[in-house]
Amino acid sequence: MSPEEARDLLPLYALGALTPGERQRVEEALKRYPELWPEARALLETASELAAGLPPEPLPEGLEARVLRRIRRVRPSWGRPLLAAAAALLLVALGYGAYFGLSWTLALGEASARVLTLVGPDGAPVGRTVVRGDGEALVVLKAPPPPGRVYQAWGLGKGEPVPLSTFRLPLKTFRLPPEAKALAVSLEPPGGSRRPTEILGLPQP
Amino acid sequence: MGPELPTEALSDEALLALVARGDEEAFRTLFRRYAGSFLALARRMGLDGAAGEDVVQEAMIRIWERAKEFDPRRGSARAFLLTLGHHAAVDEVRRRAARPVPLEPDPEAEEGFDLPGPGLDEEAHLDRARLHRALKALSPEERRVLETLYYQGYTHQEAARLLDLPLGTLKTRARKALSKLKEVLREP
Repeated sequence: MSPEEARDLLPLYALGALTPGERQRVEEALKRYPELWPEARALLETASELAAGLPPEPLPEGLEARVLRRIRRVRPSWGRPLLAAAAALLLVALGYGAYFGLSWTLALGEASARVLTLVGPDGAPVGRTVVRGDGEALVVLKAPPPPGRVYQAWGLGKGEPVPLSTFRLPLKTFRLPPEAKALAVSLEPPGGSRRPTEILGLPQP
Repeated sequence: MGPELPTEALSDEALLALVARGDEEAFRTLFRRYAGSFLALARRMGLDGAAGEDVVQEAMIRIWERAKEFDPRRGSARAFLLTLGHHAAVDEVRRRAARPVPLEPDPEAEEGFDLPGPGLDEEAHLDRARLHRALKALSPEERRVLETLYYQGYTHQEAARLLDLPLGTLKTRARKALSKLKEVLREP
């Protein structure tokens, strides 16, 4: 379907007035042609008001449990620890909205993104990282560093840890060097170090 | 950052991103936010009893399966979720051909837009009143097109036949009705 054909059908798509086949073709066109997005967005936002304007109905007892049983059959869950980690990361990151942009929300939806827990020497979690497929990484730690110290990130690969930049806020993005597959965080004197002084968190999937 | 985190605090966008990764807790939060609206929509489209519940189930399964398709650059999570819910309701209406409204267009038929009275919370009531006002700003012909397509679930070809309109006119009217609705909804 050409962008022009899709544009012609957008109002009908927003109103749910297409056949399933047409609907699917418009959805494929929407993925392919970003130039359609502003118009599609405006139409879908408006049409959705026609649903949002109805007072919500009380739900029959047991419906939530029935739906949950069905989704468990559709796709297995990823397991609670990872999910809790992702939720925790998002929740903390929401407090730093300016840093946690659209791209990181999108990254969580990508299969290539890995969410890792950073674990301290005592085995307790100290933070989380998201490492995207393109090497961009986001670190979220529990708290700012103690007075007189800074955090420093380290790229972890096959050889020695690669020193990355220092930071003071408990949320920071990095570009990992190509050889690094994950990152760790240490506590350092201001200015950082060439080798880790006090490892704070090592990645644990 | 313990394991028990209140997903209620998260935006719809963040919840969808988590659902795309298989997060059941985020999914449950979305269920609690939207299932009542899906059921209301199903009822409004003439699906009673078990049929309405089927719509809620189908809508939620689609959210579970398709959350990964959500792209915030293409629209809000709310619009994405309500669109999935509406499409599920449309498909069910068509499957059951369960439209209780007479098929013949009635020039006086305006009752479709007499929205029910105040619900449980004030903000939602204001939203409904705003929509009601916006719909009143449309011409009767434009309202009829929205009613036939959105709430009765007809395809554009079926609606054109029912309303005795050329397909092109129906499309133009649908576009104009949405555009006018958007303008009026934007007014303070």
